[in-house]
Amino acid sequence: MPIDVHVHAKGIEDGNRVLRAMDRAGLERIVLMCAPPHFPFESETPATIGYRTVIDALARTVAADPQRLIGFAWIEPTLSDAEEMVDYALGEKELSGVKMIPYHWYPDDERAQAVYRKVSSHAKPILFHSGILWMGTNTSKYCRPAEFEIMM
Amino acid sequence: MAIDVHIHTRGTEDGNRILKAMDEVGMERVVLFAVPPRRAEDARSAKNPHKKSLDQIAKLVEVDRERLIGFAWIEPTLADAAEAVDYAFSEKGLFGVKMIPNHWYPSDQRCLAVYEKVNEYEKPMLFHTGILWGVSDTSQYCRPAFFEIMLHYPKIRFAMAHMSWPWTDECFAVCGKFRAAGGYKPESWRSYVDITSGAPRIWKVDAMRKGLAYMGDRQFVYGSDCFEAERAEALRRNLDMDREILRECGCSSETMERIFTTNALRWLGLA
Repeated sequence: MPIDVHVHAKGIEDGNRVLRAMDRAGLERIVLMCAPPHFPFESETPATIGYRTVIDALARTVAADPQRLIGFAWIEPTLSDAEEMVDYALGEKELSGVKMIPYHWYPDDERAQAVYRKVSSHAKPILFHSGILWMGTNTSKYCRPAEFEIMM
Repeated sequence: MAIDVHIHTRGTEDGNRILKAMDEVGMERVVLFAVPPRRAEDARSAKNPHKKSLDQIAKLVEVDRERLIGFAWIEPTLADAAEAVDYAFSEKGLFGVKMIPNHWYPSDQRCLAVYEKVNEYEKPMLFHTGILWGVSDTSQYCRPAFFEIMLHYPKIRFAMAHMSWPWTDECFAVCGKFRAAGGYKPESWRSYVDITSGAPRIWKVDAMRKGLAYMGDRQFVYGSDCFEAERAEALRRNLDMDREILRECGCSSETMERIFTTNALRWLGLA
């Protein structure tokens, strides 16, 4: 049975319905990434977004079956409470990892490195967007794979 | 008939001789670049360092402005860059702008002033992209993803020259992003790939196959990178080679017509 490590959540999903869809598709587990805390991901997403809103929503969704629904917090390092939210997501809310998209910051940005150190202290995995970034602005230059050598 | 969108001038050519060479090889129109304005100290201190090259190219194309399409070469690090765009379009009747990122990134503040001007005039641009031969450590500035900055200048149709070799995949991916930005409407897709050589043949065949499969045949334009516009043999050399490559890629005559003619007319705003 496969595991899908890259599924976006909008913050409105019902965990049991996700599980039923997984059963139908023959998926063993999925990594569910919370909505971005700093901008509307899709038009139906509420414009008022904050870390706690998106992390709490994802934690509720994955509570239906934390074995099969693996929650990743979307951490945006340019927000002032990024490090604190890593603790909140991986500690208090017991999420399993972190997703990051280099959106107008390079992966070796000091603010990003502070996040990596926090994630490292929790010994959790990170998933980065890399390659062409399909957002309506000039963003792909931040996402080249060699930039991620910083993870060494 | 074909349109060659990538021809350099030296400032010494005669327009009638170019037209004669074009007739010999069946070239309908050519895009002629002005000579690059000097970046040396005397150019930096001069009041209008672009003026001489713009005057030269305007004079060259005046013999037949339908067939000889003059592009200004704008160097954004020179003080008169934005004014030179005005001068090129308003006073000299030039058609578009060519730029080479030579120790500046395409999102450099000085470039943005140039793009704003070109955007006002709704004119086409052609950027060197990919490995840059001949001038110091410069290729790092010419990667295709940097040209996503053009997302913010919605009235500019721009071409990435040399299919950005060796970053051809990145070039096509950037074009895919512009296709999405234009809502997948053919008329709103404003990024073009100038297939002007640079890529050795083995890469070019491979890249064209992938590019055509991913993007279709409407965004590619033909260029030669010719430096001898008065010589028919020089105009013909890459034309023959690229026709052969595209035949090898299985292109239909309709696709050939688009790549060698009609796509260029659309990019230039002539169709």
